[in-house]
This record gives sequence, structure tokens and C-alpha cells, in this order.
Amino acid sequence: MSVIEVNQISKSFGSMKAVDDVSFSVERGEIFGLLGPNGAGKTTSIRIMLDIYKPDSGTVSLLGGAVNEDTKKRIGYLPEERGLYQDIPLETCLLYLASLKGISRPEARERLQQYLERFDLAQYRKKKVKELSKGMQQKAQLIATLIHQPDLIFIDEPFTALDPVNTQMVKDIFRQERERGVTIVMCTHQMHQVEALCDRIALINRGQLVLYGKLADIRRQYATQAVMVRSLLPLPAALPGVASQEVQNGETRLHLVEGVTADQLLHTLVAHNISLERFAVAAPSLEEIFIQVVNEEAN
Amino acid sequence: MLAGIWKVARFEYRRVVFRKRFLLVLLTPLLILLFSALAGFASVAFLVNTTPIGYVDLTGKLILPVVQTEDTGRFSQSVAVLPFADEASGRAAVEDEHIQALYVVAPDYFQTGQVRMVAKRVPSENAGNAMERFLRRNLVADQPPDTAERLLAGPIIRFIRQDQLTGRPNEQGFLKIILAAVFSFLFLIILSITSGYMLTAVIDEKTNRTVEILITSVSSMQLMTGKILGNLAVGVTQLLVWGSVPILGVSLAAVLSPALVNAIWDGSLIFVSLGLSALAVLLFAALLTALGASVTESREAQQVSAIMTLLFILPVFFMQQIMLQPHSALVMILSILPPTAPMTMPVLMAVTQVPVWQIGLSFGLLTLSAAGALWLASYAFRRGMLQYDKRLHLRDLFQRKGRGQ
Repeated sequence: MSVIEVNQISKSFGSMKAVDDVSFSVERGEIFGLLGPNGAGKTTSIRIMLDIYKPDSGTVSLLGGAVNEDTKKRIGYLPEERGLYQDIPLETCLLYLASLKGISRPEARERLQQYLERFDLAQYRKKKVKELSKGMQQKAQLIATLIHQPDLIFIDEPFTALDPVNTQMVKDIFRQERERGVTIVMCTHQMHQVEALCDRIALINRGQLVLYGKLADIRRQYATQAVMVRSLLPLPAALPGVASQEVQNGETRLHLVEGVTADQLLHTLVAHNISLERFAVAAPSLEEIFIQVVNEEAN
Repeated sequence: MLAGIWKVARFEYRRVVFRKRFLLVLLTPLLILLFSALAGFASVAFLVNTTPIGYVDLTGKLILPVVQTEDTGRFSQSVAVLPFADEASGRAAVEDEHIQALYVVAPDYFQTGQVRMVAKRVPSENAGNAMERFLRRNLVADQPPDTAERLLAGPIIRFIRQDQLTGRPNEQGFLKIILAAVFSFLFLIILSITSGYMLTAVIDEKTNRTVEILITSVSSMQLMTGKILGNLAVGVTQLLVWGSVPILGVSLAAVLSPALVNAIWDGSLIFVSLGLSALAVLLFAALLTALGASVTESREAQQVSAIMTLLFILPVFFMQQIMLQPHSALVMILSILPPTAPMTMPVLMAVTQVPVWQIGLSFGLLTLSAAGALWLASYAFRRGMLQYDKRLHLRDLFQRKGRGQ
């Protein structure tokens, strides 16, 4: 059974349709990317899933049923609109949020100690939240999302305000959580992070689901007839089976003539005694796919 | 359900109470009170002059002895009234400052009321009072003792409704008005204390963007109920600390003068006052919380809350009418309307007989209003919680579709 089942949900605010007949499912233990341009309906979809908004139509099943008080205890949520109580010590704030998730105070204290050390915040536990930097507050918010060891996590732009070291640490944590069987739904505009972390994605544009499936399948689906080649010497201007060449960041993109495969081109290059450092099928980046799909929709 | 409410209420309470700023707020009025009390005692100590006064009776008819008041001690105001055979010996006593003033009662005093005073400087107020008491007692000396006491006591105003002539007359009306005024004063204090906490309670979550985290942990009803109870507990704590002073005063009075406490004590008045006040504070708190949920800045909320507070303290402006025309339509309406009932009803009960149905109606309407306001607070919060930078208008609140339904 899927951890999340979203079935034909729609939601309007006045005359604006924020979410239009969207359906998808998320399986246990996967990191699922919910993508889309600004105002596409991602946050509204998450809020519907979390029962903050009621959908105008459609249904949502989370962890095997409708969201109730028990389900809420098994969910971690890092919302787009970040926030912690500013005028109280960090430790007090995080222990309170943990207590609302139903964990006992001693257990919360023990876990908090571990997380504070891991996130390098232990020395700031008695500081008021407003005295912490933006990055520290972001890490504190992540602790609030993870401390009760949820089965399902929703994270909206988790890497904002984090430096590269902390970004890597958070990515590691997400991977560990996934190995533990935790399901993660991640919203972000950082496509390289989606490529690095996500198993499957859903792309929402103007409230509608426009792409959905395994990341590898989608990239294959959008792959062009091209290979990327890096050679020790410049390539000949004309190569059999190659329609055109394009130099990109020290590599050459070879656009193949229709009917010619990458295997055949490799044989051709070897036959021409061209020394290769790299030869790869040119799959489009997720960012390229994102821009292409959104532009197609706009046109 | 209850666990969630308890956690929210506990956090709200501790967040406010365990801060230095709260301690300062708590102690400042007590320090002011202490300072005022010390200043009051000092002024009494320095302004009261207990040097005896004297009199010369030229009528030859002032037969009653001088009755000294019973108060004694450091702050005693009693002044001895000494008789002098003639004005010359009295004047000599004034010159020697054995007495602070000499009162010469004219031979035709009983016809003209003329008394002449001889003093080196203006005598203290308690000196004049002592002479006045002495003369009054002599003026009624020929009356039977009961009549004399009654004349000296002055008028007692008593209101009795025509349809309740068999009811209990308010013998101690004045003292009970004081009791009712004390409850009204406490009600005012708790309103002013609570308003600040209630307004900021919800605006905080909207300002610091913790709403979404909270609402995915507990229900909006749990959150709002917990907030209201937690902040009410803060108000009650403040009231208890501040109230400890009058409580100490009453306890002291009970020890010194049990008769006075018995005269003031009115179980039904106290019960009605406390009951109506508790419900009205809940109503006020829930309305303020709803208000806080629908605006974006605490300053904006404070402006609206000032108008709301005015509605609750409206009876203050009609207090004279409540006491002098307790059966007028206006007073009846004030005693029944939920926001004005807690201040009107106790005073009304002190000055007249109030029918049970009127008290019951007052309680019923207030209970319904408080419950409705709680629901409204929760609903407004759910509607307005994610409108971070937008004000929630009435039409948004009641339209079918909208944010955060």
C-alpha cells in the first residue's frame, strides 16, 4: 500500500484554480520530488495532503487513511513559511514542538541532545531563537521536523540558507532516513539536489500534473539523439553518422543522424583512432526538462 | 484531545510567566501600592494633631460627657475635649499650647448655633470633628436613646421593588455596593491584563510563521482552547498576586471587626459576581483571540480591542443610574447583555432585589455568547492562519470557500 495516495484533488481560491485534478502516489521509503515553478500549486497540494486545506474535490490518503490526530504524530513537516518562537531559548522551543508530536520529555531531551550535536547547535541551546543566524534557525527547524522520528516527512526547500557543508549533512540525513524506511516528499527548485536525492518526481504546472514517474525514466523519455564526447585531440569536422557538433564546457555534443545509435557512433570513433576520455549518451538534465516542459505549457 | 490542550496551555503559561518582564509587571503595582500606603501613613502621622481641644460652655446646658472614640495607637485620630470654666483660662491654655483650640459656645447656641473658636493656628480636622461630635450628642440629649442614635446615624437609603415587597431589604446597602464595586474593579483589572496576552497570543504565531507546524501537530480547536486557557491562567496568576493585598486587608478586617465582614458578606452576590465575571472574561478572551487571528499586526488589533474593552466597561459610565434608577429599562438591558452584565448585576443586587429570572437570563446569554465566541475564535484562526500578510475580513470569514477552511 502506498504511503500517500492523492486521487484527483482540486482546489480553487476564488476564481483561481490552484490545483486541478492532480493524482499521484508515493511509496514507502522513497524520496519523492514535488516540483514546479512558483505558484504552480505545490504548496497548496502539500497543505491539502496535510489536511490544512480541504480539497474542493478528490481524496487524500496518508499512512493508510485520512489525516487524524494519530497520523499527525507520524508526520514531520518543514513548511515553506519557516518559523520558530523567537523570544524563547532554542531548547525550550524544540522541546515544546516535540511534545506536541507526542514524545515524552526525557526521550525528547535525549534525541534533542543528539541532533543539536549533530547540527553543531549544542552550544546555542540556551540562546534565544532570534539570536541565531538564519542558517542556524534553518537547522533548528530541521531538528523540529525530524526529532519525533516520523514515518513521513514533507520538506519545502530544505536547503535554503544552508552552506555546502550543512547541505551535504542534510542530504546524508535524508538518505539515512530513507534507508530507515521513512518516506520523504521534497519540494525544491534546486534541480541538482532532486537529481541527487529523488527516486521519483511529480512536476506540477498551473495546478496540473504534467510529469510523473521515475527520474531515470523521465530523463530517458526526454533524451535527445546525442552523445557527449571528450577527446584528447579536436574531433574531425565531419564524422559519419553525426549531423552536427556543439562544444559545451570542454565537451562536444554530437547530434546523431536519425537511425544511428550511440553504439554505432562509438565504433565509428574507434575506427577513426580518436582517443576518448569520456563517451556518454547525452541525457538532458532535470533543469532542462523542467524548463522545456514549463515553456511548452506556456506556449 | 485534552493532552494537546494541556500542552499548549502549559507552554503559553510558562512562556509568559517565567520571564523577567512578567515579574516586573507583577511587582510594579505592588511596589506602587506599598509606596502609596507608606505615603498615606506618613501623611496621617504628620498631619493629624492629637493635642486636646477645649471648650467654654456659656449656655450652661451641655450636660453630656465627652465620649472619646476607641481608636488608639500611633495613627489614632482621637482628640481629648477638655472643659474650661471661662474663656480666660481657656485662652491661657491655648497660649501655652496645652490645647490646640478653644471653642466658646455662645449663650444662645441652641437658637443660633454660634460657636467661636480661639486658636494660634488652624486646628487639625480631627479636632473639629471631635467638637462637632460632642455638640451633636448634646443637641439630641433630650431624645430617647434609640431616637438619638438614629438621628446621629443619618439617612439610610433603601430600594424595594413594588412586586417584591416581601423580599429581603438591603439593610447594609452601602457596604454591599462597596463589595460589588470591588468585584467590578477586579473584573476591570482582569480584562485589561488578559487583553494584551490574548491579542499577541495568536498574532505571534502568524508573525513567526509557526502556525503550519502547530496545526500539523494538534487541531485548531486544541490550539485555540489551549491558548485561551493558558493566557487566562496568566491573568489569574497576576490577579491572585495583586489580589493578595486586598485579601490580606479583608482577613485583617475579619480578625479586627467580624461584625463588619458579616455585614458585607453576601453569598449570592459573590456567587453571581464571580460566575458572570468568569464567563465574561472567557467571552472577552475568545473575542480577542478571534480578533488576533484576523489581523496582521498587534497594533491594529490593539485599536480594535480598545473599542471592545469599552463595550465591556460601559456600565462604569452608567453607575449613577444603576444605583439611583435600578428598575429603569436601560439598567435592565445592561444587566442582561453579555458584555455589560458582570459589572451591572452585582451593583444592582447590592441596591435592590433582582428577580431570579433576570439573573438566570443573564447567565444563559453569557454562556451562549462565550461558547459561540470560542467557536468563532477557532474558526477565524483556521480561516486566517495562513493569510500571513492579509487581514481577514468579515466576508472572508463567512464565505463558503476560502483559505484554510
